[in-house]
Amino acid sequence: MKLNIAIPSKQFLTTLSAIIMGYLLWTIIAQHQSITLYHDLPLCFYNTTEKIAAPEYVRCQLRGKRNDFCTFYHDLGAIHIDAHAYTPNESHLVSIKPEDIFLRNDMQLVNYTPLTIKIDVQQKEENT
Amino acid sequence: MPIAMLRYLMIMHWTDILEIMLFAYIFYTVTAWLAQDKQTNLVAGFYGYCGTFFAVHYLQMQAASSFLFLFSPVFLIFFFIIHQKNIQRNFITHKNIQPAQTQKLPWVEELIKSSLVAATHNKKIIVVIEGSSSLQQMLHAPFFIDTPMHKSLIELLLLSQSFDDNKMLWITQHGLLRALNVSWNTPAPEFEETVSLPAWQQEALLITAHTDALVFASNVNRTFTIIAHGKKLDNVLTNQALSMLHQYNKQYTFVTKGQKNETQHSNTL
Repeated sequence: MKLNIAIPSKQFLTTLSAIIMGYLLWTIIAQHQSITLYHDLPLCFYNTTEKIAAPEYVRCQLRGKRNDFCTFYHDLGAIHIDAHAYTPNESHLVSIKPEDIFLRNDMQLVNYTPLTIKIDVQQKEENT
Repeated sequence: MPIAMLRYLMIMHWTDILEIMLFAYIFYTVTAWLAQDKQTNLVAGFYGYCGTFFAVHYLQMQAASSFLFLFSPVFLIFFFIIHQKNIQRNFITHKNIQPAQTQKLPWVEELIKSSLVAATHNKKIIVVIEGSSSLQQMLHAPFFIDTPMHKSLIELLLLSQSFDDNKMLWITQHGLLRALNVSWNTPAPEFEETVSLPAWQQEALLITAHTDALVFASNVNRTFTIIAHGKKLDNVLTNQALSMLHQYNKQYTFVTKGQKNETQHSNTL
């Protein structure tokens, strides 16, 4: 059976190899550079058994090495808020403090928004 | 999914793609520049060095990686020196000065006839035929004639006392006799395989390898030596020589009419 394989042109191969070489060189140079990146960190509540309606993510500006952002992109950290003081069946305004934002050791917090969120605490219905 | 792929490739922002394209452009430019050297395969050496560097880096071979990184300027200069040397060697030959075109004459037959007449008088003729590349800077002529070639004129010149059969006739592809008693004006080539050849053949091999010039010499045994495209043919018979010169003349006349800028080097010789 005759194989019909299209052989790329020399120009195409030269361009492709230049892009690959350029990318490899760029990764070597750039992987240890510090970059600033916006990332949505998940919002978590602890010390509560109630059902809480709140934004799922808080947009944070983080600073760290490009390599770490690549490796731990889905596990950069989270925002943990102690919710024991929030009474059920009410709305509360919660100020997010920097100490609530738990990041990896090699990440730095630059900024985040919003600074205050509104949460609705509802009593959890017990299953009979 | 594409975003995740870009994150995996460490591309976090569109400016990263610009940076990569900048590096790729630099690689492409350097590669294209090195590829101009037809004598040494510098591109393979360059890719070999870069590939080795990337491999040792990602394999975390620290000593080799540091060595290749620290000595990278030395390697680059080494590549440039080799390339520059070849560029300097080929600098003159890369000039493609179009000689003036004149009326087309049946000069090939005239030349062959004159060569045979010279052979009858136990004289040999060495003729350099200038193609589209000018040989002005590679040949030294005591004086210029610049006359359309004619059998009677050539015979008159060849039989004169001033004619030196160790030197050359310089004619153009259009049948213009440019000069008599011409010698090469280039440094002696350094090819080991051509050491046993006469000096004019060594230089003819060098010049014809880089230009579209053709050199042919008639021998006293009524055969011809033809040198073109850096190759030499000995003991060529008259009819074969005539055919080859016709083919050469036809090929380069066609090219200089403006159909192409680069000559197609055939392997007919």
